[in-house]
Amino acid sequence: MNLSNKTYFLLILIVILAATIRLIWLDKYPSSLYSDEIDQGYNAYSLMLTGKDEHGVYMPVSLRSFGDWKPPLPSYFMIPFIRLIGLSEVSVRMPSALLGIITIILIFFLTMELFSDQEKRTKIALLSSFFLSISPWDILQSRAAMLVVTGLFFLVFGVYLFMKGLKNSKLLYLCELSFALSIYSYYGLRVVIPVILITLLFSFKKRLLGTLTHKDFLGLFILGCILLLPLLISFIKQPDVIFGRAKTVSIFYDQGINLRKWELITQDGINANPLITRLFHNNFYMYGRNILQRFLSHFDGRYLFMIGDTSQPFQIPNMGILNFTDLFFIPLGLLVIFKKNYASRWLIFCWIIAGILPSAFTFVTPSSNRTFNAIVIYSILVAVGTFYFARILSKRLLGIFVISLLYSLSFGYFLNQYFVELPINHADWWNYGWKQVVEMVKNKEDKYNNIIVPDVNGMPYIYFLFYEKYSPEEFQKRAIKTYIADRFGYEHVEGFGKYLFPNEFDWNFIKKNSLDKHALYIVPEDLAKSDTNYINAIYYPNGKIAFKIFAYE
Amino acid sequence: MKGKILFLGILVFTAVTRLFLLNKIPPSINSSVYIWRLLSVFACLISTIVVYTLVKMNVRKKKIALLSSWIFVNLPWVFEQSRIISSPNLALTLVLLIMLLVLNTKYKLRVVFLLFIPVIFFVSYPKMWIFHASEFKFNYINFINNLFMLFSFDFLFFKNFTFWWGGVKEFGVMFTAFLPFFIVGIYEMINRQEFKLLLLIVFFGIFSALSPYFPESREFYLAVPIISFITALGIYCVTQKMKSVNRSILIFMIFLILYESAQFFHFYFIHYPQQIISNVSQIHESF
Repeated sequence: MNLSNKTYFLLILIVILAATIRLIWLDKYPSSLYSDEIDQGYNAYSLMLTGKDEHGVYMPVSLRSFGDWKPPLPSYFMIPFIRLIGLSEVSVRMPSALLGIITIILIFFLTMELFSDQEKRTKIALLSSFFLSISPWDILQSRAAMLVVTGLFFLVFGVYLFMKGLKNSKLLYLCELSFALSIYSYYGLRVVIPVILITLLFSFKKRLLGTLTHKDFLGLFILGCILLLPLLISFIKQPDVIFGRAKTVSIFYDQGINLRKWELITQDGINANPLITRLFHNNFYMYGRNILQRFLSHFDGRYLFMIGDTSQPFQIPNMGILNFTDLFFIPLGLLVIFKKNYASRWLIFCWIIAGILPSAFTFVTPSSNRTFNAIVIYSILVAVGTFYFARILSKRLLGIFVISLLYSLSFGYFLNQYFVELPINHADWWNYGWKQVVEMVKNKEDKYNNIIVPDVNGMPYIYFLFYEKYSPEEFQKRAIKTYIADRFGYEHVEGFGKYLFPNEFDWNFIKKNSLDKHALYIVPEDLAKSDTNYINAIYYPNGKIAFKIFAYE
Repeated sequence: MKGKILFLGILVFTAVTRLFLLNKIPPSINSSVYIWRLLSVFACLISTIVVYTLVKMNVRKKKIALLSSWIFVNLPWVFEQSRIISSPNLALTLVLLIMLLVLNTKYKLRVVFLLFIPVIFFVSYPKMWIFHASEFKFNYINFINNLFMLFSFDFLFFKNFTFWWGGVKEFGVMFTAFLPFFIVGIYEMINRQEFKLLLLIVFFGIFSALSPYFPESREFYLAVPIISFITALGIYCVTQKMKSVNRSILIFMIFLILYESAQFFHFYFIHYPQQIISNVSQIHESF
């Protein structure tokens, strides 16, 4: 691959842009560490100091975490940063941000492999990198310590190595390693990777057979077994390791469809022919239709360009997950790829299907987190769309100017929503306030026998562990845990040290009947709205109360 | 001859499915409403004939014309509208008839016929925003939101939110089994650079999205024959291009369409009356 100096220069500019957006003020925006981020951070801290996770499991291949069994790789990646700069927002978010930036470089080289024409592919590859670098969806995920960013990095790297491996079989070993690491990074990829792999094998069957020897086949098979062995052993010990919380978010766990089925069967009446009733109201049709509906909801314009993902913390206020201007170029890009019969068109098509499919089986749709790997394809499609749009215009410069202007407006709007609107008016989406609570409690805790915090607004115990840098060894010994999952599959910590985290918490009852006369209560505002006898309060950036602190001395 | 018999079959199917229990479903009607419903059925039959004729005239492929008319009568939205007093259903028939006349006459007469379209709109959609321009307030957020709703898979295939009591909300404009053919049809239209009909759908969508009465998207109903044609084109292209090994997929799709039709009829004749009967107190006018 011969690249001109101009191409390298442009790529470096894109990387600088991407790095600036992803690394600046990493500790302040998002305004607080979300419970999943902080949990990974504390587990990394625990692994660094004791070699065990918070539950005392030595070098885990899956973090039990809140009972959701998080893949461990992102936490392992945090260890060097925690060692270097200490346990903080920056050390927790840094690996994700860096991998997000490297993915922007990788997408350039991947796109170069997917298209054949030398001149066009360089421009399309540069555009793909550029559009990924300014993607609101990618920025939101990269700036937070989310599992999906690590997963995406290894997925893109794996596909790139596969393409290169068609010429040099040794790279296929690295490709296999990369795919395996992506499996240790994010659950959804345990479904996506096999589909993409099958597509790759079918699309490049002839070239692959020409490159691989029998020895290679055997070597790859053995390497695959070795890489997946730890996961398999853990699965035998604890079946939840493979799909984590997937069971409790699956549409088959949700009773909505079953209840609707019984409602319809009841409406059919007792005189209805059972065969007819079963023909029309059966699981196969009802679930099939529901899965298709959920799958297609990921292409809804309101989700992509207007409202976004409404599940916290993945929403950017009043905007979709993509830039609004992408609306015009994604369909154009798709059309061009199929019309021009690009060899990679089926990989692109299958990638987007596979990327969204796992989410279609859950009842929280559309989901930007579970479908994050589709961002690669959206970026490539926008790149192809804008490239060909500028080419077909007779006044190309004018076309480029119009596209640039539209994207500047779109991206400017995103910057305002993300860096201004989100932290000020929606700080609660990111569980804001716990850090401030811990800092305040630190100075007072000696005065009280107990500190009581209702188990709401995320998992409060992990914020106390993280910001107090509580000894992991101590926590592994002293934590009170029942390991009984709630209806969403989460397991709760009841307490440790002076701290208690009750699940059932009726403030109006407790304040009248409190048995503990030397206790400090930290109560979220919505549980103690009318109560004004608090000694202190923690405020959101917009001035509203987040927590009230009550003391019984 | 075979084509004529098939088309006759489509018309008979249309008449039978529309007339079946017309006085009972939707429930809560009087005798004068029944006559209006009959008029709606008649209008649907005329529309079916015109859809067939227009497609045959323009595409010159009898199979596509037959498929278009068959899909048209099978669309859940068309079925529901043709069994109630529906001004969009009547407007659609009149607009289709005018289009037929326009395409079969010379220049000056064409202009005269086209002038009837605003009149039809005025009579059929008296509340349409364009006739109340002074009161009309444009809200671009609502407009874009409405447009996305109208062109969402949810509305087209899963959930029709455009009416309150006149139909089964569990079904969209089309059956889900039509989805792959609809996509192929759109791709084919773009491939052939035939943008007029696609733009017309967008035009009806814009008109509906601007309506202050949204989600009651009566204007978008006019796009239904085009949707039928695109789906028919998709089916035609797939059958032409598909190799014999893939016939099993096609047979499966045909089975799925028939199954979904049966599902829809089951919902319409068994569940819909039960759902509506519990809400009779909220229905303020007969339909």
